[in-house]
Amino acid sequence: MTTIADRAVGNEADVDLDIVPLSGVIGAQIRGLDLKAPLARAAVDAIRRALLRYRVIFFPEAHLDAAQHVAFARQFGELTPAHPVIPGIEGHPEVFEIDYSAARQLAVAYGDVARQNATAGGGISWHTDVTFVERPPLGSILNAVVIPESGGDTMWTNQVAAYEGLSAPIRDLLDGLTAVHDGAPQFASLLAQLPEGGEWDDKPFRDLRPVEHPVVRTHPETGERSLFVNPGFTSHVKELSRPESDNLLAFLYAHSTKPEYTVRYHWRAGDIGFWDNRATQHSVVGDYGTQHRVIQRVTLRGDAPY
Amino acid sequence: MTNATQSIEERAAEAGITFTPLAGRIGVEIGGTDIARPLPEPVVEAIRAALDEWKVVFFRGQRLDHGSQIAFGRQFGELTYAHPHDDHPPEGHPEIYTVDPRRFSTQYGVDRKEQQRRYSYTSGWHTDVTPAVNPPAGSILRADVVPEFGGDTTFTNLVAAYESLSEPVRRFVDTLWAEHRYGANSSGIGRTGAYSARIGQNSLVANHPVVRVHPRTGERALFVNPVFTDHILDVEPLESRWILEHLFAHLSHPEFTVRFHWEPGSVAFWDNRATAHLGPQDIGHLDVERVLHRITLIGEVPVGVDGRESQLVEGVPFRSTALFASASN
Repeated sequence: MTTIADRAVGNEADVDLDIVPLSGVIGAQIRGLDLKAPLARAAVDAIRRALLRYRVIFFPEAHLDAAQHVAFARQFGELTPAHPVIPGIEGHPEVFEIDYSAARQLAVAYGDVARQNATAGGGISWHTDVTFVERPPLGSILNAVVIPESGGDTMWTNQVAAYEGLSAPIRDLLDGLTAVHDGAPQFASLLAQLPEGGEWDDKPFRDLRPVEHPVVRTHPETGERSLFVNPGFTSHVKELSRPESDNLLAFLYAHSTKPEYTVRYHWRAGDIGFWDNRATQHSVVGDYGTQHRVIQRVTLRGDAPY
Repeated sequence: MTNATQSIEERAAEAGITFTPLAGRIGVEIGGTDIARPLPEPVVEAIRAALDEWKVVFFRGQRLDHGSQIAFGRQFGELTYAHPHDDHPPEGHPEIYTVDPRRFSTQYGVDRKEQQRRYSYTSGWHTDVTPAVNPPAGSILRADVVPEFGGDTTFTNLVAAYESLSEPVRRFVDTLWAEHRYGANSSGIGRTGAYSARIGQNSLVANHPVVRVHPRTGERALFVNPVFTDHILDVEPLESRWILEHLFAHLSHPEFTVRFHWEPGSVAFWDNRATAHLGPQDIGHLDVERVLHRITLIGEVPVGVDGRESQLVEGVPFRSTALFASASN
């Protein structure tokens, strides 16, 4: 397994980023930056390098409002709409808000929406954001707005480390396979409620068609290979029979979420989390009961996986 | 396929015997021949052809004893010693391995509470003696005393199982190798007890390709089984467990199988290079007698898709003499 310590060190020191790794293979906290103000070019570059190296980075207690959140994110690329089928918040069409209490109400009202991927305790099980479109987001930047006193952590897994942790014969098997990702089971009924339909990549759409991505994608910036299947949206592997596919995916999900590939982050209100959506999955721990939990998220426009 | 079937029927007609397939992909009953007597060459050839095509052939109402069963088997090849871990084949017939739970408990003791009754040394899907570097080419089992109901044996076609895998999975398993041993991971043979101790002192271990190329037909067969396959080589333990669980579940799908009900005088002859079989699962709670006698044909060393041969890890090849010193006591 390649650990953080093994990887080439960037030039974070040049701009004096205070980086504290949070586990052996994924996650770091970056301290002492004021994210409300525009960043120097060198700081933006250093943050990007940290993102590529640590997969998910955290800026504690940044306390950004929605406009500052959007402005911070734009320094790293073009933003997508809030979500393909969930409108953004008032005045900020890029900002996707999840109020987890409301999400539970939504689940009651719409049945399969939100329930599909929810855990028993109200968390959200492992997924990579929006992989059911041709160009899933490059990255997601999350603002912790209301955080329970206890619980409600998020876990991330490093999909590059998970791929590299497989034996050569299994990697060879996976390298040639294609996965089908389908957002319809979770979002079709919600899409049907939208008078204008949904929008992604500047294109309106009326239905969610399954898309194909390689099971192993090549990171467009680092050239690393990563597992690119997730239990949230991957329906099956195209080249295999259904039992073979179910069996393979179940194995890969168990493998890729082994503790040694993960980090678990306890939020405080005002924290910003920024993950490379091309190389991670994440999961919300459903241990906070009826406590209030609200996050806002923006996503950076991504490329078609290859 | 059509041509092969026609040629089999032609052979049968020529040899004056009948073929009755018993399932879609495996198993044919052969009638019109008394196998206790020396067989004309066309009948031997017709049986060989039926084995190539149907993997297991059955005869009913035969009157074999140890001597004539051995003579029948020798028409298809040289015979092995009874069994690697059998010390007491019948007097004068070292080739005969008797399947009888009472023999097992006499030799090794059985905790009845734990095991109810054992009807074979290895219950569960298996191919015979794959811990040997040269597992038997074929097995011939004759029913002596069998229950009126229950006690069936199920056979599965490992070529059909292989061929029904998706192409990427076939390519994947083509490259894999596995370790086979008595007392393998998933075999259910305990780590304690006399049989386990015997296995430990007389270790028989071989590495075989997961996909074996059949020496006669050239077909590829899935050559793993839950009783003897311990693990896949060169992958992580959890990966091995996942691969084997999938393959074990796959190879026993009903569509590859035939289930045979024994009567006194029934004989089954299977190609041990292309099948696995499952002993009775439904008589452990009954107080019934079940005695069968088996002989096995000395086998070739399996060859994988890339042409590499199986490797002996521990023990010696399984041929006509007892494998271990204690076996001749």
